[in-house]
Amino acid sequence: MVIKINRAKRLFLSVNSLIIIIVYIVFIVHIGGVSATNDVFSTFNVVLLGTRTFTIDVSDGNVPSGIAAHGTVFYWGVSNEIDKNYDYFIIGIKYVRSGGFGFTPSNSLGGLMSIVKVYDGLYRTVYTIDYEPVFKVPLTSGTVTVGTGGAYVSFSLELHGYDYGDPIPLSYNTYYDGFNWRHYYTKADQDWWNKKAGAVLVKVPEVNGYLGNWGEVKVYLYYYVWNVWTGYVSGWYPVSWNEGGQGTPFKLTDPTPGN
Amino acid sequence: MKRHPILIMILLSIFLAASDNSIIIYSVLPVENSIIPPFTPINVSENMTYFIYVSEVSYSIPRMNYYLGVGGYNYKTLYIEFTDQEGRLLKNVTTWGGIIFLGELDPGIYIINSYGIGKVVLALDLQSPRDIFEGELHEPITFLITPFEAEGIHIVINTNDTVSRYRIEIYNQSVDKIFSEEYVGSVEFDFYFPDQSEWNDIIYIRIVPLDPVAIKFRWYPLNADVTIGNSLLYLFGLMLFVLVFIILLSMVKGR
Repeated sequence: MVIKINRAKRLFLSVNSLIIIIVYIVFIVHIGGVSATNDVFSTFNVVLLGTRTFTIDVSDGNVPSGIAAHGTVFYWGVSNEIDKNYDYFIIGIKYVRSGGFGFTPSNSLGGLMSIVKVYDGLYRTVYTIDYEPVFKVPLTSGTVTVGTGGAYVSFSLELHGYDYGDPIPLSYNTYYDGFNWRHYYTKADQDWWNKKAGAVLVKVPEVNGYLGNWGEVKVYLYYYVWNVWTGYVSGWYPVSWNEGGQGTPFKLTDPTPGN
Repeated sequence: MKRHPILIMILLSIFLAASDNSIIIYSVLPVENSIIPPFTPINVSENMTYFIYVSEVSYSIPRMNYYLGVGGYNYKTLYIEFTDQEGRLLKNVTTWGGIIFLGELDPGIYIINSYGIGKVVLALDLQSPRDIFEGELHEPITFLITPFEAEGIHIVINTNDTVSRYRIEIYNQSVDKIFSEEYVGSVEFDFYFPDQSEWNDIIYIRIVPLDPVAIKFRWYPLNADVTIGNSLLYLFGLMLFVLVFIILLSMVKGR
């Protein structure tokens, strides 16, 4: 009789332990993130410093004419970082399809490219801390999160995506950094995607908590159609803020002067 | 308006002198010479000027940042300038659905110049889901929130009585109204955005008191694919797990 009770208790405790382990794994999967800096880990707020909106107007007849996509570039500052030697900024881009992208001719492929560069006005080194999107397998979904662990901004990728992001290679100039975001030209996914988003988190130096004469963010993004048989590329539709094109770059301001 | 700024200033000063000291944000339409109530979305037109007066506030809010939300029609952009009383440009934007970050504003008169057809709304910063606003409302107030990628928002309003009436209005990124409903007393509800594919990354929530009402307001996103990473939560979870596991293990061994 006693043995039976002990077995029941052990079974009960074992089940409880198993539940706790499962809960903890779920906890880690959903809550745990990655971050490259303790400073960002220790912070929590982001402040939206500005936005830029755009439309991509297709007009060459290779795809249905009209607004093919529209989108927004978001500029966030980390509002309560602790390290007075650095400030952190998150730059996010989001496209929403308007129709043109989904009907690329069968003999053609379309592509999107985005480049985000964050410049320091005093030619100090800018560091990329984290960036998304990463390579995504088609027919899988996923969430990309930049700056997890504290200051965060999160995006959802579309279900069908071949998106790839990588840091801008360091050249002889290190006073700018950012990321290249390429949406590879694959017809399968370009026919189905609805919206796309990516973001980069950068760290920039401060002096006693002040950015001083700081730099700016330059964004360059465009859409194109490529005929796979003729090699003919038509329809380059750039949206640019001073990266080889129109407009002025976004000037970031110090969200936390003195910190 | 641009031809008679002094006259407008005098009219505005007379009006302000007659008003109380709560937060006041007024716009004066140049043609009709009418006064727009505080924190109200304004339809703006080509080459128009609007005067705004910002006074001291006594609300409890995490950050006293001001935003100017700007929206166009059907993705048509408009150019908006935000200047000080002397006409010095402080911020500007060209957009069909964006914001101007104004930061903390000193009390005083500010000017909005509009070059295009659209809508603008002044809003206070309540963008983080855990932000709490607390204050007694006599005039409408508008908040900017950022339910990025969320399917909707959960709204919680606690009032100090059960009889005060107020209206909640919700505007999307293009400053188009997508919700309006009257309530009495405390309320808590989910609101799912009517168009999931469109622009719900920036939302403006306007609370219009129909009676003077003291409120406590907070919000959080619904079904957002947001990963909240926090090392403290991670460590807490780890410690909790280890502690419980050890206790259970000792209990099993003790049998």
